Amino acid sequence: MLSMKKIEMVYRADMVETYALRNFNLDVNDGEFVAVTGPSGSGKTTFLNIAGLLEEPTSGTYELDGESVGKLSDKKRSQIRNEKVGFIFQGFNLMPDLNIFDNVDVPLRYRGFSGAERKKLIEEALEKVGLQSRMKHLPSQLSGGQQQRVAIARALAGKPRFLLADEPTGNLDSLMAQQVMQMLEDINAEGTTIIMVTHDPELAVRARRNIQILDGSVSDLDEMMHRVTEKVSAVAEEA
Amino acid sequence: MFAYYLRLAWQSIKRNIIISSLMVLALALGVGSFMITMTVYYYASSDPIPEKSDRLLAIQLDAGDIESDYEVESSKDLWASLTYLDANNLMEEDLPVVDKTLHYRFGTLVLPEDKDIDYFGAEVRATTRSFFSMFDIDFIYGGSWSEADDEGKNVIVINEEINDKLFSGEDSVGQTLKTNDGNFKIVGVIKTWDIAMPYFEPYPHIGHEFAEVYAPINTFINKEPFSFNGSMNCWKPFDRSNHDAFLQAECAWVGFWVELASKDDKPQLIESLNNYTANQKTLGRFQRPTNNFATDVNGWLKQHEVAEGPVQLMQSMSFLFLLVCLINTIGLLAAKFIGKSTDVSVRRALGASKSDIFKQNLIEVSLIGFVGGLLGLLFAVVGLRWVRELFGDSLERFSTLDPTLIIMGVVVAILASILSGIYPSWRAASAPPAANLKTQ
Amino acid sequence: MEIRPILSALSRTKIAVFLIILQIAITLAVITNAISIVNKNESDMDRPTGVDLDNTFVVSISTVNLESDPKEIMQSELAKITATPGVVAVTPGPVVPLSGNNWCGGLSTAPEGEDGTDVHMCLYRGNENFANVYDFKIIEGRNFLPEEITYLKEGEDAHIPYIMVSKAVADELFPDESAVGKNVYDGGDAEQRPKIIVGVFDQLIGGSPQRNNPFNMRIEGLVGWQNFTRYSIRTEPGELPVVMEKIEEVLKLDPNRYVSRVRSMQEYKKLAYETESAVNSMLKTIVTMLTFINILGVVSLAWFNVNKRRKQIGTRRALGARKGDIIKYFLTENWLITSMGIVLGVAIALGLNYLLDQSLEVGKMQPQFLVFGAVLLWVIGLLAVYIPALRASSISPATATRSV
Ligand SMILES: Nc1ncnc2c1ncn2[C@@H]1O[C@H](COP(=O)(O)OP(=O)(O)OP(=O)(O)O)[C@@H](O)[C@H]1O
Ligand SMILES: [Mg+2]
Repeated sequence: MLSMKKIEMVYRADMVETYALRNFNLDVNDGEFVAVTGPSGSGKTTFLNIAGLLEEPTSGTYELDGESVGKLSDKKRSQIRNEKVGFIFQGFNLMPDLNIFDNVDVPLRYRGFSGAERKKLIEEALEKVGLQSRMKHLPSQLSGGQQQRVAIARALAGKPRFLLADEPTGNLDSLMAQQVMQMLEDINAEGTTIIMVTHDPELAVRARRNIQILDGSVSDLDEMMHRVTEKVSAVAEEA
Repeated sequence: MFAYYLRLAWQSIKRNIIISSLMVLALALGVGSFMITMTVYYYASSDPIPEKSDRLLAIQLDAGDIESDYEVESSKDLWASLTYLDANNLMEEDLPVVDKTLHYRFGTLVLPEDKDIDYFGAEVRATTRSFFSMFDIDFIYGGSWSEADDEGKNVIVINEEINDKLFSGEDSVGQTLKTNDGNFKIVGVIKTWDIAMPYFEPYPHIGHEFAEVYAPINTFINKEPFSFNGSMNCWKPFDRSNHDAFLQAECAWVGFWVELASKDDKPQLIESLNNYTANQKTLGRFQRPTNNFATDVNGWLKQHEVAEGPVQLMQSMSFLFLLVCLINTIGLLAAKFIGKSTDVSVRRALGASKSDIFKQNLIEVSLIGFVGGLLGLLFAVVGLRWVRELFGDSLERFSTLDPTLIIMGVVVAILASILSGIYPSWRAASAPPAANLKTQ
Repeated sequence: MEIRPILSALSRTKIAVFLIILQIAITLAVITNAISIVNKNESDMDRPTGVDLDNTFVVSISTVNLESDPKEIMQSELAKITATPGVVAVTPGPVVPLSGNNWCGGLSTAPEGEDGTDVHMCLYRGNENFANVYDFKIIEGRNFLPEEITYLKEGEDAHIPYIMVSKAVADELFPDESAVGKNVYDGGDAEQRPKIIVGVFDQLIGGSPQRNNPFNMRIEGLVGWQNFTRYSIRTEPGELPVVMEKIEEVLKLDPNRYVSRVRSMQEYKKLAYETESAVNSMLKTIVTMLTFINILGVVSLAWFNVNKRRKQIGTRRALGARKGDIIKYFLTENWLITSMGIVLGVAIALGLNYLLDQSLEVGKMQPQFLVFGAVLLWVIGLLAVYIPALRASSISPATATRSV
């Protein structure tokens, strides 16, 4: 569903050019669970931002569901983001003034759903993360893990086909992290494509596919492994 | 979506309730003070008789002293009134006009027949019957006096106030008004004027009172001792003990106005005036260059700078004050929206487009503006009372807000707040969506 | 305190900083101009008037039956007023200082047709008591003698041979010599009969202080027996309210007379300067409101800045900055912004002053007002930023370690 070809992302600030991504190629299929790892500053967040249409790459082509999203208007990009993409951030990024219900409501508002539809979707999403009883609470009244679950509910409420998570467990203890990971695996099992950036190798291995970003380019561990195993089996067959 | 934005706006205002109320207050003060000075300016400069202000013209002639070597570049440089001799002559002269009138004013003492009412002073405008129709003065009862009365009969038109005082507001036409200048038969009662000042005065200014009663000029012109209120300027000696000599004297003190059929007739009018002064030259008068002017109502008000001086000063000061309030608001809003930038980025990530965010912000700003505008209007109403007290009676007629001004006030407030909100709203909306999502 | 890091922090929020600078600049321009105008008006109002304001009042009176003899009436009224206890002096006269009424006419050192110096002035009329009613000094020559006063029936014309002129007029008419005893001529007199200057007085303000040269005055020794007249009355110090009441009572006893007004000179002065005091009140209000708005702007901006930089400040604290350092940072930042605003403001203030002076003749701005305005804004700024700065300094260093 996602296909990036020769993506390049250059940040220019005060005469300094930073290549956040270069010659970045990646295809992600429907239903995959991709874990992205890589050293700090290698371009993981940049990749997610481009994938989620928050930023436009300097060059290269990016197709989402077969549609090139490179030169779309802000309105159209916002709409795609709203309908197809769900975001989960390391810092949760809940709105402190809005209660849980209203937080989950935000993307649905921009979707233009009716009140009744929204209510149904919000309740569904909160139920899925086990927080339906906390609808009227403010984020500050929840624990970090609960906040992240609200963020997941918010990302899921509009039933996106594509979930982007930037270190969703970075601020959580390992027990909480396991819970959140479990939740993501369940979601993936229901058919949502997930791309997750993480520093935690334990979590990364639980994903079906692992890619590593090094210096702005992908090295797809699974694919390499795949190729290696293929070669090995070929050799074995030959043998 | 509008209701949603309104709710968000309200929430955001509530979160920063102190800052938001201060913003509202600042905006209200700015708008309020601007409204006050605008009101004064509006009354001082608005056309008092829009239907025909371009056809009503004040006449000025340069009858001055040959020895005075003043230069006349515009009508400003001449006395604003005529000599009685010229005004009277022009009444007889065949001018290309529909109507004409001359007038001056003086004080009299009204002696009410009802002993419970004290004597009181009143100002009389001595004029002709055409005065009322020329200046569109509305009558409650009766009307102007007849042509025959113009010859010098003891008839009088009184204003609403005196009619209320002496006749408890009832139709007093046919009754007698006793004064120490004689007894007069009341022929009409005029409505209180809702204009700023008697603009037809030779030297109109804010705070000028309207005369209370009106009577034929010929009833008084030969009266001795003669009384007169206003500005009189003489440039040739004459025998001051002789009233006829005074009426013939080179003293400017009589106002003279004409009404044209069409404003295009002005060149013909000037030509007739020039003919008149040319004839007078042969009699030894008008020895100076020909400088005759006919100035329409708005030109007259401008010539006398009625909307200048303190009015202008306060207007420019209050405008600058409003400007400071607006800049202050822009600064506060910018700061406020920058404070919200994470919020904006999250919304953007969740699918809000630039214009969604812009709308959301603008609605918040407009809400503040709307409340500020309403409060400003309230300030203006209270402030106008205060200003009226400061200036005493001279601003009596300036202290009400008419609907035009109220609408203007609300428009100014909302426009001001939106203007000050556009930039911060746009700034906040156009921040790159990913910028504030990284954990700091 | 190092300024460079503050400047670079400021340059990151250019527009916001520019706005506050602009706000301070316009505020300075308005405040200084307003203060300059207020000051000018007040010094006009405080000019010596030549009137004993606290102890002088004026009665305006007219006759019901115009057939009666004003001479008889006035003589008896003057006698009654003079006899009233507490009255120092009274003079009849149609024109009163600060009343808004002006009778004016020029005098020349030579009759019409001959070369002479012409001086424009306005005039008062009264009897020999005029100089006692008003509070001016005769600095040369002497007061009118009773026999020098001309008495005149209404409608009559007469030569007024004896006059006194103000020093301003005397200096203009006769710059190099004493004016006393000199003949002068009134252009309005057909016969060009000479008037004799018997005295020169220091100063007495005219009917409208807003006119050009309001101290160019002369006093004519003339009393007109008229149906409408005014009496200017001076009382013993402190007696004014009682005497005013008493005289009104006495004059009202005559049913043929109508007292239209009894007004103290303080009241006349108040009315004469009504516009100026109103303008002053409004300007003072605007200055107050502007000060308030500025405090508002500075406080809220600082407040927002503190909030925005909470974490940063916490980190600084964690890294060893003392409370005082944080406060100093904010104060210095504010001082820098205010100073830039003041520099721009002085330029705008001078421009505004030029424009206002061109169209409204408000006078040139005096430098001390600029200094005053600048100091005011500095102080306001520092005071306004102090509380937010204090708040910032009390941010716990632990903030740095807590996530948002
Ligand atoms: N807005 C920006 N302007 C300039 N350079 C940037 C910007 N955002 C990111 N970069 C640079 O781009 C590179 C990639 O950044 P990115 O945030 O994608 O790294 P990351 O892989 O997510 O690192 P981490 O694991 O530490 O989050 C870094 O060198 C960073 O300094
Ligand atoms: Mg990252």
